[in-house]
Amino acid sequence: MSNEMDAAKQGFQVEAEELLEDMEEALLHLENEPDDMDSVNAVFRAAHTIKGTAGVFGFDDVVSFTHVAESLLDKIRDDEIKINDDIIAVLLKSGDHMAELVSHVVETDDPTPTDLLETSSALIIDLEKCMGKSSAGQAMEVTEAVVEQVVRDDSASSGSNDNWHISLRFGEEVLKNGMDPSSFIRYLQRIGTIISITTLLDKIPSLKDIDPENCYLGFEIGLQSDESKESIESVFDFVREDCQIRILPPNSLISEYLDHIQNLPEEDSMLGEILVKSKVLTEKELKNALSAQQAISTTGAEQPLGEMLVDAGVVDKEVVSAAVEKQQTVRNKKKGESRSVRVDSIKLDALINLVGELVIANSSSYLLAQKSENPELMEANSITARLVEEIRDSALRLRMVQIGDTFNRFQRVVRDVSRELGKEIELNITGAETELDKTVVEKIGDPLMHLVRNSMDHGIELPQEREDKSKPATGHLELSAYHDSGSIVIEVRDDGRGLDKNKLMAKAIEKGIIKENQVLTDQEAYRLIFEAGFSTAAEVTNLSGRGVGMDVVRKNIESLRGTIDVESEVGFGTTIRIRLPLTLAIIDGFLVGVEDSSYVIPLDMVIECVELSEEDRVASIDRSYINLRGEVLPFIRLREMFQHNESSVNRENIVVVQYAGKKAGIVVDELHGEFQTVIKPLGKIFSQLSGISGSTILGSGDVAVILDVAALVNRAAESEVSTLPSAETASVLQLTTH
Amino acid sequence: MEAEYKLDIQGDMTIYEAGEIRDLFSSTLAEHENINVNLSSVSEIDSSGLQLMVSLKCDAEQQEKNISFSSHSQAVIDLLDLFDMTSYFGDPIVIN
Repeated sequence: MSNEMDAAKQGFQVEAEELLEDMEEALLHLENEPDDMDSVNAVFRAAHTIKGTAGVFGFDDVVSFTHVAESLLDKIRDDEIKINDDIIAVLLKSGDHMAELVSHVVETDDPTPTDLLETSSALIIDLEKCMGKSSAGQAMEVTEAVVEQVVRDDSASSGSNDNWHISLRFGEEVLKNGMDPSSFIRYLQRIGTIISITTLLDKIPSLKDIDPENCYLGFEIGLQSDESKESIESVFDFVREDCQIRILPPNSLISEYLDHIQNLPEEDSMLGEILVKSKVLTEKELKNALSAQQAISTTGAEQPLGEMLVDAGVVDKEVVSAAVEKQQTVRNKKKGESRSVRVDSIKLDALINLVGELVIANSSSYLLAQKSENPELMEANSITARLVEEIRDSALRLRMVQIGDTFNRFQRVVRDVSRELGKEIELNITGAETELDKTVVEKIGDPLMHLVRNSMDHGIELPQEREDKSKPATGHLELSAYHDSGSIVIEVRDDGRGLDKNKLMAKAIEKGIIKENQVLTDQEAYRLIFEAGFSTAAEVTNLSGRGVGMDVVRKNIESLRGTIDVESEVGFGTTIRIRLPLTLAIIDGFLVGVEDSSYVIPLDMVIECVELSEEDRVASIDRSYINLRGEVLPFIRLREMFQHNESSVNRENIVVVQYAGKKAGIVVDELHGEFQTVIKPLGKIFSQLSGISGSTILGSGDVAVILDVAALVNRAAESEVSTLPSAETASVLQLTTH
Repeated sequence: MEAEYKLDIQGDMTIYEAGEIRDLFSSTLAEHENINVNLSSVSEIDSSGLQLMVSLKCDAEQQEKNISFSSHSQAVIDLLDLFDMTSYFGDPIVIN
């Protein structure tokens, strides 16, 4: 049972996190468009759902805090309070605080620590201030709402049937399922004042017949509350199936009470008394209604009691139809929301592993089919192969998520940090719909956060400074993502002061990272910011420069098989570009051979294949570049790199690959064509090898090495530079950079 | 009439102990006429515990035996309060 409970709690936490994210997004949206009712409703729904679920679990601290936020939101929803920046700021903080409270109560059973409670009360005061602004009357109501949890309002001054009437008959299994009726009643106390409660004990059998683990209780409750029917109903979400629940709203038709009395197993007179006791009906009303009903049944008139009461002016018709309409819209909305399914990521991983095995198995049967030279078998096999390919693609797509959610988190960060720093910064997001592997998304969050903060802190200038430089006072920060030859590129671009090469160099020399007379290209100089122990800010602010620096960012990116580079122009801004592989599991490969060994080049990076002409072969003995249609193309020979025997073949091919805008050639003996490649990671022992990113198993059972094109391209460029006189270096780099 | 028999409940009265407590209640009721149940050590009670108290009381009344509960612990008081059942039992409760 406790496992189920834990799972339920985990579910609650996940749900709360999602809701709070929605809430934050909606709040930020409201900052620009304060009149957007949809966003107000979204914020309200989030707070409301969290409160409801927390209540069922008995997380009182979460409930009492969320309740106040919800009251404020309710007033905004009803147009009693106009939303403004102050309210949004308080609500944003409240959202953060809810997240902290939720994760505390889910993770431990300890009582909430005092610092959290102190934050709660501080925020509650702020929230109440927001509510107090509108009018004195509402302020009163608010204090009442807070106090109601402590002091029961015994006077119940409201009219005789202003109360909700809730009738509960718990099912026998409720206790066994880990629910206790008392926790529901306690929760009702949170959302309103219990005016009366009658516990029905008549179902409890004698000691010899009782099953001590069954529940025999029933309740008739009179509740004074401002909540909607939907929210009161949601209290009982967890037991709805097991129980008979009837909730009669305040000012219900008297006929409904009568109907209720007749529908319950207990005797009519007893329930009548209970209702009178619950103050939903006065004795007189009950008597009148009963006798009126009798009168009708004797005269035989067809008019239903409900209509009669409406005629008599007891109930307002419009109220009823409005309520029905509202419930309808809520229901429609719910339908639209439940289109996605939550799946454990372990299950997904297992599926993808299986698909990987399927790909390998398929390529081996394909090989056998080819050997058999049986055309039907080969055809059948190629159909299977196509299907497997499609399965592979859709399985991988399951893991793909849009990067938008990660980006959107930064709206809040940019907003908060820019206020803290006294800067005006606007965040633009492009390519939010770009998809990439979930594991990559999860791991990219922290490095991105660091880069964004860094740009805001060190890059973008104060408004005054910007105006002096005749730039717009508002700085712009841009997060963008797009696909580019088999990788995803994420850019963080700011229009701040840019990186100053000379300053960077001076600092690096001071820190002993480079030697004084060392000559660096612009690129190399910019990359200095990723060195350990390098920080350009003269003063360390509490945002960046906390010691965990850009070197950690670089390491994180590299551990995802990604690269990071910097472009900058002094006075105009900096762009940091992160390049990551799309997926970590399966790629389309291009199979090539050198002697008996096979190598795989990621297909997305291959641009073309050309034969290495005799002329170039001769020339390439003492230089490692060729003239490819007038372009200088540096290349490397896999034969040399992996130390195969001296060449004895007559023909060689060159595979032209591109990575991060640079082209290079890879010289191989044979081209085998496309090949679906399941990446098997290399053991730890090989982790230091550069030029290899993994291995894969061919259909024949042989192992092929997957080439790390990024490393090879860089190596080709480097070796090229070293063989040329330094004066030509720049021009070569220019030629190969696109 | 025999002297009052004191029954001390040791530990909680939740669904985990419900079976045991039912047996304890039935055997006590079978053997004694005048029963006082001491609830001072009940640190936790849930609806199942409360049901057993009701069941014991009803059975005792049917068999014309005397039953009372005393020294209610805070947990018991809270639950009786919540269900508005203090007057049902009619036992004096010491309010701290």
